[in-house]
Amino acid sequence: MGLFTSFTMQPQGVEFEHQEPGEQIILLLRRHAITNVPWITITLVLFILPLLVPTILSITNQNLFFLIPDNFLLIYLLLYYLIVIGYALLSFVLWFYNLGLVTNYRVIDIDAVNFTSKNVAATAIHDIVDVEYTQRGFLQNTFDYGNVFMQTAGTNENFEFDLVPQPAVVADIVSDLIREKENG
Amino acid sequence: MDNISQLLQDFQIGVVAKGITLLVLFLFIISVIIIFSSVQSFNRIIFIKQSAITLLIQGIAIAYFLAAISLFILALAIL
Repeated sequence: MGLFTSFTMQPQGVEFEHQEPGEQIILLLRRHAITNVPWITITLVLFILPLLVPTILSITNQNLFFLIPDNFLLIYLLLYYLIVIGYALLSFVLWFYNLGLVTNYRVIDIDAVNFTSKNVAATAIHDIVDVEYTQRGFLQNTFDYGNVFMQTAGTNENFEFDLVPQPAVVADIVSDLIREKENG
Repeated sequence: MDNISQLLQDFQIGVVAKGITLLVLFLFIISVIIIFSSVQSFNRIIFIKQSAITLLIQGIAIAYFLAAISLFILALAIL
């Protein structure tokens, strides 16, 4: 699997918590790689920003840096860059561990909301009664990604894979699994 | 007398600035520890064997933690 792989069929060597014996992962999904563009752009801008600040201040004749001692300036600059790297690391890890799994038994949705909270939900394939997908807007149609919505029977929680690649294929695979389970 | 008072004032400002800086760095290290432990926790939920990416994320998290500690030590040394 590559660094920004977001659609893998039958991934090799992937294990998850509470995996049952004989349970095989059919699909491993993440949000489409294009959804990483905003945080990558923000990170790049934040990286370049300190290099531009002295130039901007010299243009506006407002050199405020002489007020701060050099040793403090160095520490705060290093802290700034560590915070920017931390932001990039946090954004990547949250994307990386926000997963949708389709196995031969169930559908699992792992949502890493932030670094201190995560939500793991699972439902059996035979509990899913309807699968549909939506693709809205220019970007989703151009890069072929969207939301896959799975309605479950009764009062069970409904499932949604957000912004996953090839939503039509995902919906098709889940529908086939439901049909297989129904036919025994 | 004015010079001594000015000197004391400058000294106090310096101490306060150093104190605030070290406090900020200390809080930053705590947030880094939270990030580090969360990466380990996420890795338990889903583990990708033989994947360089999992190792890379772990490695970056450790390097990030060490960098934060180093910055704190550097601040103690040069401030």
